[in-house]
Amino acid sequence: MISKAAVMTQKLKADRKIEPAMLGLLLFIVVEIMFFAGLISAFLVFRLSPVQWPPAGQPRLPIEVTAINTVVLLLSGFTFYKAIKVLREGKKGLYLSLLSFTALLGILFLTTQGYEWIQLVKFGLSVSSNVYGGFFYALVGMHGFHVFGGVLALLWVLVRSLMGAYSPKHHLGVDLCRTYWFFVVGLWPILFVLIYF
Amino acid sequence: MNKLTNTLTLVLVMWMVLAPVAVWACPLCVNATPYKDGLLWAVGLLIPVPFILAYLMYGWIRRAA
Repeated sequence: MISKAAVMTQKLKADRKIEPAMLGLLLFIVVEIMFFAGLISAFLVFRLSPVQWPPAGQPRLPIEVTAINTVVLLLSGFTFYKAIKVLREGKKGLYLSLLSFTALLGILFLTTQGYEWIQLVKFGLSVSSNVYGGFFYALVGMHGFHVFGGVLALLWVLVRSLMGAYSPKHHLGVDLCRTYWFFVVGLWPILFVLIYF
Repeated sequence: MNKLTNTLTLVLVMWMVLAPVAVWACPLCVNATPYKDGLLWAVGLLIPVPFILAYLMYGWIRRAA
């Protein structure tokens, strides 16, 4: 027999307009935005001053490859957006394909970034080489770390989707992952323009 | 109490108007560095961010509820 308290709890859950998990994630993203705003403002102190930037003798950053990589990340945001849309329409096969493709694009972005860093280290740009290197690896590295977290979350959601955990009406986990992914995707073009140009 | 508060506020405002150098924490330090333009931009960027975020959160919660 269901108790009165359990019935009340069920009713409250049904009436809930804001999911606590989503509110928690948004607060987390607010903290992350403040964190990146702090890093960017510290970077701007050097970037917008009349002192030569980048300092002389530094390797040129690979703008072309990173621009293509930016398109890859933006495309992953689009495929995730479409994945949620088709999930709501009940097209599970297409949803799984789009989600897998999103994860692959995220992995491709990280792999390209990693390869770029290896090349830059070979050319002498490291975290400790100077303030330019320090800022480059702090900003791009922290973003890469967040993308890595997003890819792990994506893979987790993909596995749960394959297990049938989400339906067209109940897909909070996918929504949470999408919100976080949109944050990392939306942040990257700002960092790209600031650092690479 | 109210009169005292008003007097103190008036004295503080007069002090800020008449002695700006005294209330400016370190006017020489800012101008002494070659990074002063960057510092101004950095502070200008950082100050509105919490307010924008708080406003966006408030808007989102209001819309969702």
